[in-house]
Amino acid sequence: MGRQRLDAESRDALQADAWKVVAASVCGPAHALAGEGCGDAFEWRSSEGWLIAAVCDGAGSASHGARGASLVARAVVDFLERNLVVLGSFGWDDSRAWATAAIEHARSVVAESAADAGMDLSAFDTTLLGVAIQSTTGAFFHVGDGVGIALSDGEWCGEAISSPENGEFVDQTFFVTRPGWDEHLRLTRIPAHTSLIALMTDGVSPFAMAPRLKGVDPKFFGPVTRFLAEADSELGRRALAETLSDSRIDPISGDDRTLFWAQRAVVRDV
Amino acid sequence: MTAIHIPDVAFSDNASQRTPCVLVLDGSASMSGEPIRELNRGLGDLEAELKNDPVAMSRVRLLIIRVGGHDEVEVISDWCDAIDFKAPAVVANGSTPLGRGMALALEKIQHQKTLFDSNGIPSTRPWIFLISDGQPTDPGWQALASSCRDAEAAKKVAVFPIGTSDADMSALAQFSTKPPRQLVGLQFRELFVWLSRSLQAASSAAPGVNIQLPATTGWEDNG
Repeated sequence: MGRQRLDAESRDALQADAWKVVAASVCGPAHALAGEGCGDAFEWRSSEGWLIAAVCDGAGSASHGARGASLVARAVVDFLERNLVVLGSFGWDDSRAWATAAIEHARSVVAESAADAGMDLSAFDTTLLGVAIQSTTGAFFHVGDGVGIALSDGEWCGEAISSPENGEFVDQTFFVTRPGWDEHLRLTRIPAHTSLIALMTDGVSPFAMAPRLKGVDPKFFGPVTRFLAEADSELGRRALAETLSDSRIDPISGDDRTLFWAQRAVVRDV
Repeated sequence: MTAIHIPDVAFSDNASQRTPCVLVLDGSASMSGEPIRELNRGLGDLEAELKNDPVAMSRVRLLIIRVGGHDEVEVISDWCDAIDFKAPAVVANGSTPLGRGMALALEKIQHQKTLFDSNGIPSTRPWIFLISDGQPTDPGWQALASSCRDAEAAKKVAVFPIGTSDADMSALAQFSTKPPRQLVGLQFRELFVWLSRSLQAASSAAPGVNIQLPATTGWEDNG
């Protein structure tokens, strides 16, 4: 992957595209009752006009799924920050190459932990839903379930949606930790005028997304976006975590719940 | 630190995922008396338990097939959401055409899956529970059992054969890639409570998560 330094003018222009980010991850009642921790993890960076984020859902069936989720989220974001931010911009045609490189790096990180524990990589099974976006273009990269959505101002239908990939049935999905993961790596282009990005695990999508994933559900997403846009980051994070812990969600999903919300502070014409 | 809730948030269940489950029940003559009474009580418990779970009541879909009579295979409760399920009364008489009962179960599941797909409704892998106190009596049941194993190997369905202490467990084993389970005595009620809890877990399961079934202590004879 090539690198180039940003000149000062480009850097200043990109900084105008600051992102406000609020994210929270809470343990669902199914795991809480079983005395288990949250199997979801997220990681994000926002610098020099870039927003890079990853949300992972560790498989409940894997003994180290939560650890896998945490390792993959961090490794992917670390890798992309090191490589994309200094690159300055990227073309859509390159997106599969850098997403593949980031996942291969993350798999090598997980493989080290698996070897230390004397376990197979599959013990760390996790999905991956990520985004990398800057002023001119962006992309979701996705293996498995969860939903990524890009919205423009005031619209609840997605400008771009990265849908979950399940097997024939909804309770089957794919993991970056399994052989053949690259066959399930999906890239979705995000338009430049996108003003809001959300990544969510499958514990959130049943109520945050509209039926058949046509867009977000405004009854949930409207109040959340209005509140998070006004609140400072810490207040927003606490309120989002409290909201995701609401017992009214329990009849809808017993799973862990992670929502990553990012709003572009300034939308420029490009 | 005081709790801070985002005001005016509403939560709708937009996933609408379904968990299909077919019960193939032995209604042959050998089930007469106490066994069929306990089986029917168990079905009542299943109804009550599922209706008591806010997720399962709207996501689990049930269909019940009885085998018995003159080699008869009949749907005694057609597909319905658990909230609309009324436990049928299974009668005991006649023979045990388990092969044809299971073939009908596969056919019903395929039809249901086609309906789901055409309506954009996501679904979890269907389950078939085969419950018997004897052995198949229909000619050619072995080939039909083989179809069940093939469907299970192709991950189109999960089959759970369960036999009483008098059941031919080696015959039941031919319907699934998993070993059959043996009931302790006539613990049908415990079995159906376990089944409802398993369905509750499946119906609220997230994609990609293998279902952790509840322990079978209380009804399974682990020998």
